[in-house]
Amino acid sequence: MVNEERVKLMTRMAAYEEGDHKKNKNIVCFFRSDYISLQLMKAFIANSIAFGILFGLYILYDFEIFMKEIYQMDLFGFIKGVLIIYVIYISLLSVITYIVSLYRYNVALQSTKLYYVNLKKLLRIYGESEEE
Amino acid sequence: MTGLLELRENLKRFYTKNEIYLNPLIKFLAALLSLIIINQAMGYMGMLKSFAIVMVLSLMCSFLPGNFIVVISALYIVLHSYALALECAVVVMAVMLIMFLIYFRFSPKDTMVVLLTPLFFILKIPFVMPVALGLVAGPASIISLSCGTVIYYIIKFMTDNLGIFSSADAETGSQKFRVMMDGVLDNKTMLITVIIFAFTLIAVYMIRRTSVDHSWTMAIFTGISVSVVLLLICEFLFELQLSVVGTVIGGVFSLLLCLVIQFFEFNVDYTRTELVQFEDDEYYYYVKAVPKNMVTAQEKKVKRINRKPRNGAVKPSRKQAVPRASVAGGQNPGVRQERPLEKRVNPKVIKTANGVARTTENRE
Repeated sequence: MVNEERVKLMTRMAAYEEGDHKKNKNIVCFFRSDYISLQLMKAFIANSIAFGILFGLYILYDFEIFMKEIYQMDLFGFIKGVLIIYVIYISLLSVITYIVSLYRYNVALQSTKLYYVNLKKLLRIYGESEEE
Repeated sequence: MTGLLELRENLKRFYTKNEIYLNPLIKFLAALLSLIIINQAMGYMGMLKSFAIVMVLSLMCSFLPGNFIVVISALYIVLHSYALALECAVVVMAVMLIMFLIYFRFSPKDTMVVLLTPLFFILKIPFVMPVALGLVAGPASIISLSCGTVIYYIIKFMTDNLGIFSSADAETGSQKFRVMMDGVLDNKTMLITVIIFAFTLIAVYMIRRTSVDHSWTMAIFTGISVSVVLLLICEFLFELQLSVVGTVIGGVFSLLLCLVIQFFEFNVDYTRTELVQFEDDEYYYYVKAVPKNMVTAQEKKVKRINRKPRNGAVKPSRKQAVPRASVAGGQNPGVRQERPLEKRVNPKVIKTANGVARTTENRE
């Protein structure tokens, strides 16, 4: 005979397995700090490349003027200014990455915990039905 | 309406049944359509317009993940821009790379929005995107929508200034680059469109989340009318060089498309709305339950009349049906043996002297 509770549980779990299970499994296989560090590192590389592109576009926009003025300008001051902007930019995006990663890790952990709780419940139901 | 609902159910069932074949087909068609539209809108590199290349790439996209369509389309746009002018290609590629590196690393699912937005712009029905995203997604989609809008306006800027970019004068290289950058950064129309679309998306999202009756329909009508009216107001204020008639017609078509989306995504029967109220230890609950419009799709049943007999044996009719005979004893298994039926006689109802009815059943 069909066990209604068991079918409900199995359906819910199957839906989860089809959906976010794989993604969440890849997240929770790390410790929280490791996962967030990895994401921050990836973000640092990607955002640095993006900053490089933006800086390149800025230089190319007035390239002729820049090349003319490069010998008269305070080069250290210019580099210092660029570095300050870079640090602010990287810090801002790193904070965003940290918040998003933390949120994602917590959601993945909760979903995975719920999945295993359901799995245990399912095993218990199977055990009960076999005893009967 | 019932016919439409039945059609919807049939479509859903058909999709579920043939998902494994339909998904690659949909991807193939999406890739083919997007590449053809890009070729039509830009088409500066003759080689990319080759039907064979388009077909091969579309076939590749059909078996690869959905985001591959976006990558191929982005590559197509960059290569067409390169054929026009190197400066254009540099700017387009830089903008795309920045988008992918900063935002789409977080939400790879949203990349399709970046592809669809310029396509709907080219098809003159751009209002579909903010309204549809407000209905089925959330406020976070504003970023993807804005990125798509920026890409469209970059393409439009290039096509509008073909004369500047197609000149072969080598000295104008840095000027071309500056013109292109100005076209991206100082594009008033683009900026206003991005703001209006963001506003529309939020308005649609907030209205459809409310529990009032017909919230989705209200959200669609509000979204389309707000975006069309705001764009027209901005047209008069800032001279955005938009076609008034084109904008209105685009709005009407977008409205129809959004109603189709609503039909498939959110089809409920407000006449059967139930308002229930209950409580537990901590809360009072006021629940509004709106049933979905559901129609059970009719299944086609094939009724066989005069079924072809096997081994020449005549199949008895239902009334003359007999229990299957034993095939033991070396009898031919293909031929059914008839067993004599017990003859039944209808029971008789006898009234006794004291008025109690009694039945008898005689067997011969």
